[in-house]
Amino acid sequence: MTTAAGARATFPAVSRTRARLVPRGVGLYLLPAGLYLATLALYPFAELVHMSVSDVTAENIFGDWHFIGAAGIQGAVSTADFREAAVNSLIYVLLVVGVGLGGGLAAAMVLWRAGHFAGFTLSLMVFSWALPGLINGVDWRFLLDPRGMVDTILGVFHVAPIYWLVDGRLPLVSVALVNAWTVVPFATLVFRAALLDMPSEVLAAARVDGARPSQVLRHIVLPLLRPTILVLGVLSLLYAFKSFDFIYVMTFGGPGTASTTLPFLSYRLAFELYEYSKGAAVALITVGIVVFLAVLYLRQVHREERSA
Amino acid sequence: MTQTGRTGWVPRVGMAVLIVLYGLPFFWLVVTSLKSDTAIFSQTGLIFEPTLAAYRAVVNAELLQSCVNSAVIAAGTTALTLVLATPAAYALARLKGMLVTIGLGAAILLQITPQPASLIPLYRVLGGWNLLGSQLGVILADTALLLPFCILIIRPFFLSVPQEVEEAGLVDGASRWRVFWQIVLPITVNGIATGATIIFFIAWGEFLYAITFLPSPSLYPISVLIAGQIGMYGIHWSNMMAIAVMASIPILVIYAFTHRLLRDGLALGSVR
Repeated sequence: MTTAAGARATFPAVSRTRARLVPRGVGLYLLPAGLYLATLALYPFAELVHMSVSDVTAENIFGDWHFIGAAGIQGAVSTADFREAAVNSLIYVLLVVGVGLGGGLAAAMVLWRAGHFAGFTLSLMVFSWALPGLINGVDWRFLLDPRGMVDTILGVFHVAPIYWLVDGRLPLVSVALVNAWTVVPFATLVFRAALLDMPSEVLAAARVDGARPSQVLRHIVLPLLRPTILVLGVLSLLYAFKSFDFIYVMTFGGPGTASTTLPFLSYRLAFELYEYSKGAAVALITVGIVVFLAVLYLRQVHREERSA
Repeated sequence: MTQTGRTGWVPRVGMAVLIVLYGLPFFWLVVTSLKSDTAIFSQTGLIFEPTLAAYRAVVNAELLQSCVNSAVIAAGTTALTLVLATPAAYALARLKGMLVTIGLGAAILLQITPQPASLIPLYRVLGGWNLLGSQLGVILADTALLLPFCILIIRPFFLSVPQEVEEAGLVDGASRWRVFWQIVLPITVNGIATGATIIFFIAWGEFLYAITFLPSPSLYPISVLIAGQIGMYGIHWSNMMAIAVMASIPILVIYAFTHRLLRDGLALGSVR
């Protein structure tokens, strides 16, 4: 730091070179990824938009598309299936974010000042996060079988078997909770890092002043964690909204459509019913909702930064 | 660290709960894979006769081929993603202004797109290029899926490299490329390893592209062997669990080496 600053002060010519060198040339480094994503992500995305305003079925998916305009999107939105999937998505997202963040914060508090074993526990938890959703989903599908681990353990306490993946709204809730179970380790990592960053003098001072642990939590820890909670909240919200693997593996959207969320509905429409246009329309609306939420969040953050 | 002195009972109980909550499911997966079909639901506890019958039933040429396929797809995706993501993440950490806003915005937009939304059009796009039905097609699709995420993971590591380090190199007459390759990359190797590990894990578990784009079982990765059985009526649980355990082994081995890296690297990426 000092050498560079000194060089700049002594040799103005060097600082001009620097001003030129740093921004230029680096832009080229964006090119490979940019071209790649333009071809294999943005172009397909444009095709998705195109598909949602065309009439595409299994017959003409590789052929010519007939333009039908917004009628396709309207048709996809006005169905009962869409409304149900939207409600399911909402429930799913709220559960994953709420339980994921709440659990993560609780776990981070537990592991905050715990000793040697905390590292082991954390590694064990993050392993569950690292395992593919496919494997976690299969595992939990078996654990939640009426003859599986969970009901067996409950049976010890004389609780009648619960049909986690079969009964009414329960499958949606069960899958969301399993999904939240994999969010908790990630949230724990991030919360723990934030807690360790916290000025320990402030906490010590509060305790010296006689604050109870619950007061320290409410009036000091939580306010200091606010930015972390916001970032994590948005990350897990976006993640939960697009979640797909767990539903595919654990319930396949069923029984019936009881656990079909918006991304899963778009998948079913396209690859089960071969209604590619409707699937594309639902997918597009899903992306639209997510973008809307993200923009809403960014504006909120922007406003807070300004007022702060 | 000094405030509490001794650990109270609340953290201890909490930690025990966490260990049960996160240890038991995977433990149960392994235990189930060691049970016979009759024992699987009749001897529900831990008292049973362990058997390797399930492994004997599932380990065959097809499974070994699927492991090779998985390795090809996951390694190919990881390599291609890193080659593309690393320079891009560096550029997005060094540039300022509109280009960064657009670049990051595009990365975030693509990152939040649900997989079916890209699956539907990719099916047509790859089909048009005659890439449906090849592992290359799956690698290309997986890379498109994970590249934005990888850029977002690695970028904070480049941000934490002091610019003065690079300036020193540039002033000494090194080219921008040499500075990137010989000065910046060695410093950020942890970040790149974090990105590589996560991309490899996700690509290893990816099944939706593979199951949709690949036509013949001889090309399937192990994830498709698991996902393909899931829709069937009456799942053969002990066999399924044996395959799931085998699919977890590479993750477990890599994780044993990288868990500290992930622990520190992930927190860095999302807080900043």
